[in-house]
Amino acid sequence: MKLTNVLGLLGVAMYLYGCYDGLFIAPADRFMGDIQRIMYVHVPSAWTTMVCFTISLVAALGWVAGLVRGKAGDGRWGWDDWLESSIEVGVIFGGLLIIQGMIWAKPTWGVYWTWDPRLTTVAVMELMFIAVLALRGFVEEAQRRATWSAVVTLVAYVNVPLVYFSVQWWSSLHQAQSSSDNVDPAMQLPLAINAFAVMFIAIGLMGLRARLAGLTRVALLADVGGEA
Amino acid sequence: MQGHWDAVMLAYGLTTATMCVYLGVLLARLRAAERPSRPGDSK
Repeated sequence: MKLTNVLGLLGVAMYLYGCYDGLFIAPADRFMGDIQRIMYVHVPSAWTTMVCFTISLVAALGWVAGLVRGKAGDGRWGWDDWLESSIEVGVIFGGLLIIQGMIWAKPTWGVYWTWDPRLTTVAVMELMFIAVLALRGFVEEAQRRATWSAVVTLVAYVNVPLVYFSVQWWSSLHQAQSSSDNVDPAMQLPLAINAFAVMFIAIGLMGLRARLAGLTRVALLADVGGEA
Repeated sequence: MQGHWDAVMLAYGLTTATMCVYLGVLLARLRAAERPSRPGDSK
């Protein structure tokens, strides 16, 4: 069994326990009450989205490095497969992140959405990575598609540090990044378990999606008489 | 502010359901991609 599949299964087991702990064992927040329990899926989704997009950055750099050395397409298609898979999985968790945040925002802020720096930068990041997927859908030639999407990924990744530091750089309604300094010890265990659980599940999903991207590309190249 | 279990369960349910549906779609697409094409199959 592949390592990504093992991590995915481990992630599912950890997720089940993490959710049980977060919903029924961890104490309710003193001010927000039970609605704060959304944190145990919201923060892991945020971290996983960042990790996915960081993997896409590494994949884009890997492809571009091969291109610079004149080796692109020569056994280096794995970079492109992982770029596609990490962006798709990252966009899914990014979408979940936004919706979870909206569900949490309504009872606490009184609105589902506000153009706060954190929310706005997350929305821009999500849209830019959706644009990379859209670009891939429009370009049929595999080599060109890989190069263009790698370059656009490098540009889109600028949003990731902007999202992370937005709560420090600008006056934000959103709370600061969750860490052991500002999360009660009783809440840290389910948060840590679910953080790794969701990340492992995402890695498992990325492994499957990368395999699918590879199979699709091989079939496409076979159709046009190229080679994988 | 107390309560809001409906919102909490909506967030957890949506997250879990999305991951399950995406996994199902991926497995179905993988199975289709790994199946050898037969004469007459549309591409």
